[in-house]
Amino acid sequence: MSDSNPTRTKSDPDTELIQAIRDGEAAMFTDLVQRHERSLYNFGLRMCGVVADAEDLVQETFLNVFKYLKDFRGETKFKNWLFRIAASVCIKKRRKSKFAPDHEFSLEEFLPADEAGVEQPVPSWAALPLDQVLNEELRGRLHEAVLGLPEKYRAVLVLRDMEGFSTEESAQILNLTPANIKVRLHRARLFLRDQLKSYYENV
Amino acid sequence: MKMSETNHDHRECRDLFARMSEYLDGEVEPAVRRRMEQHLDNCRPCRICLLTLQRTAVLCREMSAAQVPKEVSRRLKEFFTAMTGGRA
Repeated sequence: MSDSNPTRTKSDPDTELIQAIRDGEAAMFTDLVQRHERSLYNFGLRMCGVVADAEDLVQETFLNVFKYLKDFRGETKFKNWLFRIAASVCIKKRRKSKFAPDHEFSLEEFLPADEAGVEQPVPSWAALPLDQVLNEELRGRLHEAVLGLPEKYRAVLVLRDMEGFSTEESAQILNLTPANIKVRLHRARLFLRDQLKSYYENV
Repeated sequence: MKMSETNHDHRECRDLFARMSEYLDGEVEPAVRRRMEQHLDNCRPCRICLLTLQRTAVLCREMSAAQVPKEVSRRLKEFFTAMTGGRA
């Protein structure tokens, strides 16, 4: 798998390590694995929801990295290339999540209900300081809600809002246009927002 | 448009609703941003919608990443060490 981003990356913290591996220090490959296993493992957990699948994803992704590292030309950050491979591994597995049937979201289904003439307060979960809202129960609820997203929306949300990739980077990783990324991210957030709203209305 | 508040154009609510994430991510053109902000100044339902969407994105960002279980980390290290002929 080659990286095709024409924009040469100025500073990539993995450059030296990759060069050493290419220069024959194959044993240093485990350092590369250790450096990225946590973010990749979390990507796997958030995409598959199962520890064993997350482990498989890390292993298969790095097997591919080892195989194709010679094709990596440093035209994009190594981490972006790594996640491109991970996303491709996910797609190839075609594991249908038991949580999420395939479903195309329309904007209409997320339009807020008519609250004509009623002064609505800002809900407490959006108004209170973050540290008063984000507890273990909410983390669990949010994790479940993310797993409830159809895969195509989940991948975008995880990359953009959890892994911190930009719109452009996410588009390269998932081989989509930036416009697609924006549309999917917005709908994914609206879905999660509705899930959070329901959760707080029922506690 | 279901979001309602008297005396304003609900098409603007719909337009804003469609691009709220882009607005939050600083990805709308300056002129569009100014128009959106004018609308937000006068539309409480849209402001609440924006605040809840913003909080949703922030909560996602604040979700801490899980540690890789030691056993998993050990297996990965052993696997790739054996594959590359390195030291465990």
